[in-house]
Amino acid sequence: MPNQTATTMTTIEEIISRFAPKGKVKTPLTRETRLIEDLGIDSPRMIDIVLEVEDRFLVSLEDVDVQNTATVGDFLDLLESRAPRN
Amino acid sequence: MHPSVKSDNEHPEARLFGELDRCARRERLVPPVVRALNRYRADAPPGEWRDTVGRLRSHPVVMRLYEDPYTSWGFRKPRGYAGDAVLLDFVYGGGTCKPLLTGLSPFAGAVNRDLIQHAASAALRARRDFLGDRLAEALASKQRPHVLAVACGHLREAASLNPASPRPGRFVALDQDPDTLAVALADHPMLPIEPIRASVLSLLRGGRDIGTFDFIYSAGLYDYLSEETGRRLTTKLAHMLAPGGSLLIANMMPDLSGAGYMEGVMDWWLIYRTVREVRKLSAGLAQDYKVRVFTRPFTAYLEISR
Repeated sequence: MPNQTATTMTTIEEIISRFAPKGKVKTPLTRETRLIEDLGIDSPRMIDIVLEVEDRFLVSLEDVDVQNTATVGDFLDLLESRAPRN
Repeated sequence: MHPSVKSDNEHPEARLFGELDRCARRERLVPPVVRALNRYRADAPPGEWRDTVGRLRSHPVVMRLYEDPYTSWGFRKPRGYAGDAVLLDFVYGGGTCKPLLTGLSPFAGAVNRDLIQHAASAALRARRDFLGDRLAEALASKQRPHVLAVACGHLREAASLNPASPRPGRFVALDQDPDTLAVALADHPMLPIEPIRASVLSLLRGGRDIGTFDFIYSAGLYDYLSEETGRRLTTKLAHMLAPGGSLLIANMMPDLSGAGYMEGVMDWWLIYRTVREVRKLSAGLAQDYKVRVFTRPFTAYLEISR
């Protein structure tokens, strides 16, 4: 579902832009954009992003899965693998 | 133009780099570098400061500063995150950093001494001492109270407790880092520490009930949390208070001198909060909690009592 993926990407981009250090995010992000090296997302900012994503997409993301996400693409894949929570 | 002659038209970053060039000739490097970075940071818009930081770290004077193991540890983040417990041991003196301080060159030793004596380091030691006092008070205020240290680090505030201090009924030490928890456990054999490895996320989700507590405190965690996450966590922790219990949260304030060095050279970024911003962390609480904000030099404390 390319449209849904594009919408998800747009929302993720918006959330990341909100929490990443000022001046670090150069949109548009790609699947290959690295969360730490390119965007300066450290673990506290990742907490912000995960909480916001969970609220917006009504999903639960496991700590261990989040720790394994290195790129925007990894994050999108993780999100899309999670069914909305009840 | 001679480098010591300032021009009003000179770009602020060029002026900063000129000041750093001149620092190279000074006998003591740290004080003028810290002053120059603080001054520039105070005047520069946040985005511009971050851009400058990217170029700053290849300046020859700044590159020499990484010979200091404290600066280097902060910048390299061997544990994978900023402000870990080993870094704080440098500031407190002793503990896990001792092996890293042997065999230093005279230059590295001098840089280290100047940084550890700086007001920013003194503020961190004052925070440790204040929390130690409050911990002792909490232990004395009730028979065998239950204590929770959130993002406990090496629990250095507990070092000020003497063997005759009243003992807690429970002392839960919560941290995301297993190496840190191991040190906390090993270095405080007098305390009945229950180490729990947990992240802020898992704490917020509350998957595991760890009970209620008479005294909950957090020394450095909130310096890294956004307002939204901080508010959620404050609400969560307040709900874990036993009747009559209190929660104490520390947060560094924006007037912390040395922030320019911490960010610019050590890549150690804190979220500094004013008294008003610290109070906002309690915004999610119901009216039946008593909230107080007070300050000590460079540090604001949010105290919530149930």
